[in-house]
Amino acid sequence: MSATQVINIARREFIAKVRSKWFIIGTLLVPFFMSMWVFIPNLLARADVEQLRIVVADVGTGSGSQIADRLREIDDFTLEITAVRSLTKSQAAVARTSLQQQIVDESLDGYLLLEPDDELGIRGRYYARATGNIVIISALERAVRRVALEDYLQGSGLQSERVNALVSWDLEAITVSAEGEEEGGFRRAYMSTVVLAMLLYMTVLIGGQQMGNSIIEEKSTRLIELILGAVTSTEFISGKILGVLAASLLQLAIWVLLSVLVGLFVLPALAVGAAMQGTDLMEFLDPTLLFYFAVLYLLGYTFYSVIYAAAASTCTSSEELQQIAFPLVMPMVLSLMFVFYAITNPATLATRLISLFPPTTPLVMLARINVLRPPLWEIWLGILLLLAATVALVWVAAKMFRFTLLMSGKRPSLSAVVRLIRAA
Amino acid sequence: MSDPPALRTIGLVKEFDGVAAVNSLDLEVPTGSVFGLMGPNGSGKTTTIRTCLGMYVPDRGEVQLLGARDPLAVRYRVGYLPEERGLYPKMQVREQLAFLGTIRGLRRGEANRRAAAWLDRLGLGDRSKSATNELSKGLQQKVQFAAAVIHEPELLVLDEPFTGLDPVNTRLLKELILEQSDRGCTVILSSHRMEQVEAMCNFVALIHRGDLVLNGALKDVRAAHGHSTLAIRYDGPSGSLGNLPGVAKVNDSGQSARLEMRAGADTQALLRVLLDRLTLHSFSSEQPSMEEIFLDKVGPGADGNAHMALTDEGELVRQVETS
Repeated sequence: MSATQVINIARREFIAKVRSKWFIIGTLLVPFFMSMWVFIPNLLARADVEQLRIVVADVGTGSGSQIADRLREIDDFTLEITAVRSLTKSQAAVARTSLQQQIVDESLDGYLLLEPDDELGIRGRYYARATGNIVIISALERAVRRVALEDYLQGSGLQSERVNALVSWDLEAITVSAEGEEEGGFRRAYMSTVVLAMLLYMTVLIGGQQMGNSIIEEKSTRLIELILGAVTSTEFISGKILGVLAASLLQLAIWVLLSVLVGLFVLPALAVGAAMQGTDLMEFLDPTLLFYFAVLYLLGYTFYSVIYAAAASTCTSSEELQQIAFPLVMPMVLSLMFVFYAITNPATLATRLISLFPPTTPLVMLARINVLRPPLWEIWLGILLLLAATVALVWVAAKMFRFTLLMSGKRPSLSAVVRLIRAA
Repeated sequence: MSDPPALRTIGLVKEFDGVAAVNSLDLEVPTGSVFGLMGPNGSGKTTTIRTCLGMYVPDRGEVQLLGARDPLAVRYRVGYLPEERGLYPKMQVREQLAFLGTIRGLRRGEANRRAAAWLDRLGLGDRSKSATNELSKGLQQKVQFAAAVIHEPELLVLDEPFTGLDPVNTRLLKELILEQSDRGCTVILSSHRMEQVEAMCNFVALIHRGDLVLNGALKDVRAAHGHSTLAIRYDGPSGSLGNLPGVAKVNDSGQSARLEMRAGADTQALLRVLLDRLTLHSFSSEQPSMEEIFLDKVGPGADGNAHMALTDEGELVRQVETS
């Protein structure tokens, strides 16, 4: 195999891909839509927020104004408490009729009805024209619960802050290894693996189809026999795969760069970051983990792209490719199921074997690295096997490509493929 | 001949699903020759070429391409224009030509330079930055030919090069091919339209159903096979062409006739007899065409219920009688 030929083919493929208008459109549009996905709800929420006018109607609990204060304390909130009305039971029916009328007239958006309750102390009901706003509902809920709890604890000597803290307490899990102690565990392992899975799945679906199409395309340009006069099918397919990979990795790098720029400069400026505080990004910035994440992502992406290339070698149209490629990327989806098992049972033989099986290596090995770092040799054995499987697939793809191209137009039967691989 | 042949096959066999497409082929293409590989459609020409160039692995036998057993070892010294040919439609013309040069071993700078020079020669200098699919089909075919010779190969293999070309482009392509031959390049031309290539070739091989029917220098093949023909235009009573000395067969059209002569027959003696019998307006002695030789070898009766026939366009086809 001549490296020069592989580079010649890869170079042409890369330039053709990068110059194509779909590459340029895709490179710009995907981040655009992604950012829309983040910004639009946020911007919408800011730009056009209904200022809801609400009356707190307290029917004998005496906590109405306290709850109203709690609601007013909430920052950045779109609720306007227009009045707090203390009512007796006999007044309630008349007052509610008038409030209902105001809601119908649209001079009021809703009212919070507070009544004493034997079990809860205070029971709240929210009457409004629209009751779909979950943010409002949960804010009201929290305010009522908080005040009810404080009322209940009043005089018992118990501190409501402490009770709150106890109720929302989480167990900390610390991973102990030769390198020391490390916080995190299931959550981190699961989150980072899910992120890898999502990234892998999305990029493979896009990139794999591109890879497949560019192989199928070769059959229709009819230039291929001219090329195969000078370049072996293995050189050709390797170059083709490298070229497509380089183009899609360039695209991915641009996306990552854009996301980082957006994350560093745009999000803080818009104060959108608050919405993402739920996932602590710093957890992923452990350099070792980041390294394995990158290695396993690149290898996984390459492996599945090559699967698409191999499948495409036997196809004559991209519809045909879609039909047969789906079962081939199933292991990627299946490995998500194994991830759960691997995280809960990181040291069993089954987990170790699954993490060494190339199609499931990227996700399962990453999960293992996260939970209970496997011995170094096992990680690298997995990586090597994945690499070897990829090379073997390139070889199979090349053989099938040549076979289907020069032998006949039809797709080879499975038995023909097996015979071919044996003969080669 | 002192030079080793540009291509030699020894007992070459290539089978598909147990059926031999090329059957024990012994071929020798002398260095510097223009070699015509002829035969009807489906006779095994393309399979022979692909096997010789290493795209197929032979089932049996041996190929020596420019003296090498492994075609891959000499791939930068061979140019190939396949029958199935195309170009990347969106790629710029000059880049495309340069790319095809680099895969034949040219360095990128040199490939770019030669690509530009070729485009100038072909009158496409101002189109070098156009997308290839903006060129007409004829122009694209010129680019394809340039791609096959841009690296100045020692051996140029052209599979059905004239298919789909109009007369003007056919003539241009013939000139370009002969120019390569003048440069010292061995040229192998495959075609099922023998009359198109036989004028250019000095060596020929005829393949029929994977078997080699004829092989050798064109003049030797003509001398050894078939008969010379005397074409005449005449006035005379009907029946005056009967019983002529040395004539095997007469095709009489009334005012003109073609007299097929037996091997070794004396043309001068025949002319004397003809002058006695009728008024002779013109006569010419013609060599048998490759088509005639081919039909003579494998024509009607030569292989069971199938036989070769000429269509109106002069194309050789294999006819199978259904009865």
